[in-house]
Order: sequence, then C-alpha cells, then structure tokens
Amino acid sequence: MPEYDKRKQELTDRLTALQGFLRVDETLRIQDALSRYFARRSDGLSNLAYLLSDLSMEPKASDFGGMLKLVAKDTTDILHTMLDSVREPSAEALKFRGEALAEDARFWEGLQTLYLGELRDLLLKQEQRLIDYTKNLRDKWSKLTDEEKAMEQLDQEGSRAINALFRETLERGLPVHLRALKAFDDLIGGIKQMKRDISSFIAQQLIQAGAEKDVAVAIGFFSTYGIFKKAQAPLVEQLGGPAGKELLSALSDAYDDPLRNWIQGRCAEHVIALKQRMTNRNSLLMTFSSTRHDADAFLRDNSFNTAKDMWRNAESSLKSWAGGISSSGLKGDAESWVEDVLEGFSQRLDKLEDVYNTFISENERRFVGSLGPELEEAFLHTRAWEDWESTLFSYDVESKLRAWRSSLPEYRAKVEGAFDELAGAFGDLPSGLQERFKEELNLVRADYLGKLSSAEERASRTLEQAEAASSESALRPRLDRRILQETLRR
Amino acid sequence: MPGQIYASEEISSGLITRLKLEDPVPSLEVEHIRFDSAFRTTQLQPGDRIVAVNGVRVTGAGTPLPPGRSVSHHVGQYGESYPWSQEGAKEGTPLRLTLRRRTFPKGWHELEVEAPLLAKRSYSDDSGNRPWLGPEGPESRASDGLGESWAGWHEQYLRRLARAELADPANSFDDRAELRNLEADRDRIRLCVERYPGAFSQALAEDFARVERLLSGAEVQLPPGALDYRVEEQVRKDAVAQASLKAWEERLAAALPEQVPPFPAPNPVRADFSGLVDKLVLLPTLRNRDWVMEADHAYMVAGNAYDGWYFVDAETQPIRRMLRAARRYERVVSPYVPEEYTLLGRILPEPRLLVIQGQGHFGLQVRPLAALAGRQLYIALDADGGDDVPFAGEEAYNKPILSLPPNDAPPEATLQAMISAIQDADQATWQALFAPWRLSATAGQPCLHPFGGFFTPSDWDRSREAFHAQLMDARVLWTSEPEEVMHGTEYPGAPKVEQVEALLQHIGSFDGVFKSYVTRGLHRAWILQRVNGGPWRIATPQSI
Repeated sequence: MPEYDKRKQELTDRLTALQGFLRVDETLRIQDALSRYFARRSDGLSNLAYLLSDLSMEPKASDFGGMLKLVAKDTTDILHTMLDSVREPSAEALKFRGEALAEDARFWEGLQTLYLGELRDLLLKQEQRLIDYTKNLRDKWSKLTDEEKAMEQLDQEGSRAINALFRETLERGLPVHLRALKAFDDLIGGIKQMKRDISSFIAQQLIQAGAEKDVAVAIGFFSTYGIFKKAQAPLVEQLGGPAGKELLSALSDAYDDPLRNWIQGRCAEHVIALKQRMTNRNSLLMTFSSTRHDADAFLRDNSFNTAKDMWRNAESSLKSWAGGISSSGLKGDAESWVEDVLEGFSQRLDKLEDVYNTFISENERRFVGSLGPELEEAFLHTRAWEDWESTLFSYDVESKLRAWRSSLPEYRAKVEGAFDELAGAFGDLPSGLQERFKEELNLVRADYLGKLSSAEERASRTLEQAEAASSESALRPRLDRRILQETLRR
Repeated sequence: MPGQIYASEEISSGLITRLKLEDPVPSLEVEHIRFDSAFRTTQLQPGDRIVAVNGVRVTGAGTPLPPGRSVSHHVGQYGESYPWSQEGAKEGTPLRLTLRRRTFPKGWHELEVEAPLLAKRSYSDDSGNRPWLGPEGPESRASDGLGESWAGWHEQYLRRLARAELADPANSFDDRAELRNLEADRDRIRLCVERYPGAFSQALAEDFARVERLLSGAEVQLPPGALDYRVEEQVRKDAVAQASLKAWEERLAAALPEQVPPFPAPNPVRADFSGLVDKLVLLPTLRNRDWVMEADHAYMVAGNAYDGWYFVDAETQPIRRMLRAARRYERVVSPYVPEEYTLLGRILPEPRLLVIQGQGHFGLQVRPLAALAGRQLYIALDADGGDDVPFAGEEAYNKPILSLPPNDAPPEATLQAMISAIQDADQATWQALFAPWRLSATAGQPCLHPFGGFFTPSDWDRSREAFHAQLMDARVLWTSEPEEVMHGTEYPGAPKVEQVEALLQHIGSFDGVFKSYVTRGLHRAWILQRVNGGPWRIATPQSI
C-alpha cells in the first residue's frame, strides 16, 4: 500500500513546535487523534486510488463518491473531535485543530469537485460502448452481407434468364426466319417457272383452235373450252401446292414460338423483378448508409481522442488541484496520490485504446471512413452488371428482329414481281387475248397475295412486338443502377 | 362587598419575566403582566424581550453582574424589588424598558415603554383574614363550588397562559391541545367576571381572549393552487385519463382514412413497401422490453421476426416530448405512469437495420405523431412547439419545475424551496437544501466541520406524512437579519459563516378555515447558514 505520509510529517512538526504552549493532556489527546487520523487518511487515500485504478468493467463512481465522503467525514471527524475530552482547551490547541480542519476541508472539497469516479466510469462506459458497438456492427455487417448475397443470387438468376431469352430469340428465331425466306424464294422460283409452261400451253391452244390470226375466233374458242382458266392451272397448282402452302405456313404463326417469351411478357416480368430487387437493394443500401452515419456520429463522441482529451483534462485538473494546496504536507501527499491515480487511468486508457483499435480495424472502409472500391463493388456489382448489359445488348436482338420484319415486305414484293413477270407470258398475244389471260392471272394472284399478306402481317406483328419488348432504349433506363451508387455514397 | 388593599414596601414592575441571558441578544422575556401592573396599559405584551432597563442593556450570562447583584434581581424576577430599594425607587418612579420584537417578515426592532413602578399589593376581605386575588375578589382559598381553589387555579392558569404565549418555537407544543385546556377555564373566568367584577376579573378575561385568539391561530388566505398537491390523486388521474382517451379516440378516428394495418409488416429489403410510405400505422403497446439501445442511442421496436418490424428513433423530438410529458405527469398528476406507450405514427421512406437480441433485423421506420401512455396519458407529439407539449388535460395542473434556488437567493427562498420539494415529493431537491457542514463551538470558539452535516431519511418521511395529514401549507413567517457567527479569523483557513433564524408558519384546515397552528412534530424554528457567501442552506436537520 502506498504511503501518504507527508501530511503526517507536517502535522507532527507543527505539534512539536507547539510544545511548551500546549498542556500535556492536550498534547496527548492531539497525538492520539492524529495517529488515528493518519491511519484512516492513508488507508482512505490508498483505497480511493485503488478504486480509480480498477480495470474491471464494473462502475465505481458511486463507490468512489461514497468512499470519498466517508474518508473525508471520518478524517475530519477525528480532527474536529480531537479536543472534545479536553477541559478548557488552550487557544493554541484550538488554533491547531481549526487550521488542520480547514486545510483538510479544502483538500477533500477540492477532490470532490474533480469527479474522478465519474471520469473513470466515463472511460469505462466508453470502452463498454465500443465493445458493444463493435459487436453490434459485426451483427449488422453479417445481416447486410447475408441479405446482399441472397439478393445477388436472385439478381444473377434473373439476369441469366434475360440473357437466355435474348440468346434464344436469335437461336430459335433465325431458323424460322430463314425458313420463311426460303419459302419465299421457292415460291418465287416456282412462279417464274410457270411462264414457259403457260406460253407453250397458250401457243398450243391457239394452234389447236386454228385461230392464230383471228383473235375473235380464238376468244370464242378459248371461252368455249375454258382455256383462259386452264392456262392458269399450273400456277394455281403451284400456289396451292407445297411451295405456296409452305410460305404461308412459314409466315403466319411460325414466329410465335421463338418469340413467345417476348409476346407473353416474360422478359418484362424478369425486368420488373430485377427492378424490384434493385429497389430492395436500394433499401438495403439505405440501411447500410444510415449505419455508416450512425457510426460516424458514434465516433464523434467516442473516439479515442475524446477519451484522451478527458484524460488530459483530468490530468490537468488533478495537477492543478494538487498544486493549489497551500499545506505542504497535504500538497506532497496529493502529488503522490495524483501520480498513483494517473498511472491507474493510464492503464485504463491503454485498454480503451486496444478496444478502439479493434473497432477501427474491423470497421474501417466498411462502416467507418471512406468507402473502398472493393466494398462498393461488393454491394453494387457494377462491373458485372455492365458486362451483362453489354453482352445483352450485343445480341442486338432489336435490330435483328427489325431486319427480319422489314425483309418480309421486300420478299412479298418479289412475289408480286414474279407474278408480274408471269404476266409477260401473255406479252406476245394479240390485244384482246392478252387482257383476258391477265384477268384470269390477276384473279389467281389476288387470291394468293391476299393470303400471303395476312400471313406476313401476322408475322410482322409478332416481330414488331418482340422488337419493342427488346428495345434497348426502353430497357436501359429500367436497368439503370446509378441510384444505388448515389444511395451508397451519400 | 369591599375588601382591603395592602400595599407593601416592596416596589415592583408587576411583571413576570423569563431569563434569556444565553441568547445572542441577552434579554428578559415578559411572561405575564399582572393585572395591577402599570405596564398593563402600555404597549408591553407577554413575549416581548426586555433588552435594556432604564437604558442599561441586559448583559449575557458570561458577563459579570455588578457587585451584590444576581440574576434574580432582574426586572420581573422574584428579587426585583431589591435593586429598586437600593436605588431608592418609590411607587411612581418611572421605569423605562427597551423591548426587542420581531419585525415581520424580517429582522427585529426595538421600542420603549415606560410606566411607574408600583408597590406590591395584596388583597383580602374586610377582616383581612381571607386573602383575595384582586381588590374585588375572588377569595384565594375559595372555590365557589368549582373544585379547585381560585388561587390554585390561577397559578395553573398563569402557567398555561405563559406556555401558550411564550411557546418556544423550537420545542414541541400543541396549540390545539392548549386551546382545549383553556376551554376548561372559560366558565370559571365568566363566573369570576360576573361575581367579582373589577380590574382582576377584567384582566383575566382580557388575557383569556388574547391567548384564545393566539391559540386559535390566524386565519390564512391560501393562494390559488396552493393545495393542488393535496387533490386526490385518483381524481387527477381520472380527469387526465378521461381527457386523454377522448383525445386519443378522436385522433384515431381522424387517422383512419390514412391508416394501414401494422402487421404483417413487409421486410423492406425483400418487398415493395413504397405503397406504405407516408401511411399511418398504429403500433402495438410498447413496454420496457421493447426499447433497444445501440451505442447509447435508443429505439423503440414493435414486431417480431415473423410479422416484421417497425422502429421508432427514441432520440427524436416526438419521443423527447412524450417522455418529458410523462415526467411532468408524474410530478403534477400521479407519481406513477405505466411505462407502456401506444404510438400512432407515419411510415418513413427509409428503412433501418437494428440488432435485436443479437440478430440484425430490417424494419420500417415510423415517426410518431401521437402517444397514449397506459390508458391515462395522451400526448399529441406533432403539436407546434418545442420539447414540451402539453398532455391532454395538463392545463389544469400547470406548475413550475422545481430546482434549487440560485446561489444568491435569500434564506427564505431556501425554506420555501424545501416546502415545495416536500409537497412535490422531490426528495433530491429537499436533501440538497440542507447544509453538508456543521458549525460547532468548543470553549466558545466556533469551528466548521465541513462534512458534519446530516439529516435522516425519517425527517423526509415525517415531512411527507405531515403534508398528507393536517398540514395544508407552510410559509416563511419571519427571518432574522444575517448574523456573522464565524468571522473567518478564528484560525488559519477558517471560513466566514453567516446565519439567520427563521420561523415557519404551518397552516392547517380547521372547520373549513385555513389557520396557522402549532403542534408537536412541526418545527417552527429554523436556522440557515451560508459559508463564504455561498447559498443559504438549512442547518437544522429536522422535518417540516
């Protein structure tokens, strides 16, 4: 136990100097009181210093305050009553008592105003807060990252689905479209082949009718024997045959199957789900950002510097208190006691620093300090999303669908051209006959082109819908994730 | 029936006094003025303190008296005549007395009265064999059928009068009990006045009336609100509860169109809650276990892991308002408000993550708009104003918040604060008003024991009990001027200590009338001190 014996020396010296002025009974009483006073004081100061140096996590301010009051009361009680059993104490004895009492009063009152127990508990509280908050942030980090992982998994599934949808559109749509084009080509070729057959058939019929030079005879003969219609028979057969049917089939609902996901809104569903998860992720990031703000606010009041400031203030107050004591004995003891207390505080501060460093190392670039690019990437996956979008739009589904759609009228025009070419088969016939053959051809042509237009329109409509659904300009804003970055960085 | 009057050679003032020579201002306290004293017609009253006789100050116990004199020679003491005879005083020699009286509400003043000294007189019947108490009777040894003799009764009666008139404020005394005792004297005095009309019986009647008035206490007009603290707690609680429930129901009805059911609450990071933002929600009653602390930041939480969570930041103004209103309620309505709050609030767009019992949970944040504590306290948390918004019905119970008087407040402010603290059940303030020091004196030299003050918790209990019994109010009746009782020169480091005496007036209700009264257990006399010009503190550790 440390000795605080300078006061003892001081009062003993003072008492010795009074020998000759004090009566024996007074001296004996005072000596007896002082011996009790010194013992109680030394014991009290040691216990008080011990309490302040206690490194446990138990609050001690109340104990310290109580003990301080008790030691102050006990020691001043002893001084106050030192002459109680002395009959008619001398003026010197009264002065000795009063002076000692007044000095002690200032000593203890000064000590009480330093609120050292409260300071020790403040440091303890800060340490406990740091420990608790480290755990709290650990739990939060765990929750945030778990949630983020689950979210990311769903996002990846959704994005893969969209990707597949784009890819499959081309993989499955292209054969359908090529089939249509082939059907066009086949039919056009077939129609063109009809020209020679029809020319030869008409020439043969003209000879047979013997009316090569008489148009009126030819018309009468052809009308009677249905030659005008018969001349179209190969064409009708062609159009109603495999080639003609194949084209109508390749157009009408053939595109439905490969483009079904677009038409039925599957892509939109995936995008909506992505968008919702982005909103959820934004909520998650809001909670992350608000936790960062909380941590910032926490550190403003609980940084190690705050504790160091408290410690410095305490050190300054303690030294100022000890330095301001006029009694040399009390001052000497106070200075020794301050050293002991500061040593205790210093250990508490070291402990606090360790806890603080743990807190910082665990949370730096996470909840504390600037956001690291790794953490931003971990929450936003920006590169992955950019790659995904780039891949997605590199399929260029929209343009390809548009090109498919725009090729259909072109091919239809070619069919019409083939019909026009076919009409050339009647070019050498005399006027009158020529018109009658064309009339018949036009009937056949109109019939088929009507069917073809319907099929083409259906195909175009399907393609147009898929094209709109896959439009980059429509999709990009819905996949825009910049708001997440703003939330994360705010 | 005329009697005889015998005038002796002994000269007297006709006063009976009590020695007060140990007091800071030594004096002779007038206990009684005989019916045949010339001072009867002056301003002199029982209770007056004679501090000088014919200009000569009464000296204290420590001051030696002139040779041949003793304390029994003071005016009003049994040996009074001796110095008069030594000085050659005769009947008719004027006697000038300097009196010290309290000046209400503060300090003392002195005044002088003068009357002739008179020869001591005795009275008897014509034969001279039967002593009378006065020139017209009654006969001392007669009882007139009343049991005790007139002389015996009169002696006791004078003691009773003195006890009432000179009641030491510091000692126990019960004026109502004394009044009852005095009542027994009424018939005898009436009889005396009827049968023996004259100066003696007239003085009896006058003294009786004066003391009766004194013991009955002065009627006191209490200021409005002085007895609020005594209003039945249940009445207050009921009134506030009624106002609170009405306001709450109205608030809920108004909120209905915007209100959404609280549960199931969406997990804000898994579901779309945008449709709930800005909607109103009535949270279930939240109790102590529903408070969560995160790094000294408090939140109130409603819900669970299955139904979802709502979080209320408890360090925002609405909750500050709620808690401050609850504390005011405890002070002015009832000391107990259940720590359970039902909150109506608006859902905020930003969710929050909190750790509850070691597990992180996402929840919706709610800004509270109105609160009901228990079923008895409603607070509109969105009302205009600062941190203090009134709870329903509070306007009927407005009272300033107690605090210690400022350091330079006069001593009566300290006492008044003590009274208010007891009425408001504020033990901490009450305790802080008592001096932590104790002033003692050894061999006449004062010494301040800095940590010697004390009080007992039972003083607090007794004070509270007094206000729950007959005591209605108390007020500071009088204080003395500050007197320096320690000058700071007694020993090196000695402080300067000033002291005042004070008298409290206790006020009770008697037959519906508020009157001052004195009874055992109530302390009228108080001492306050201050050290080196600091705040006044009560140095008499005692109950009210």
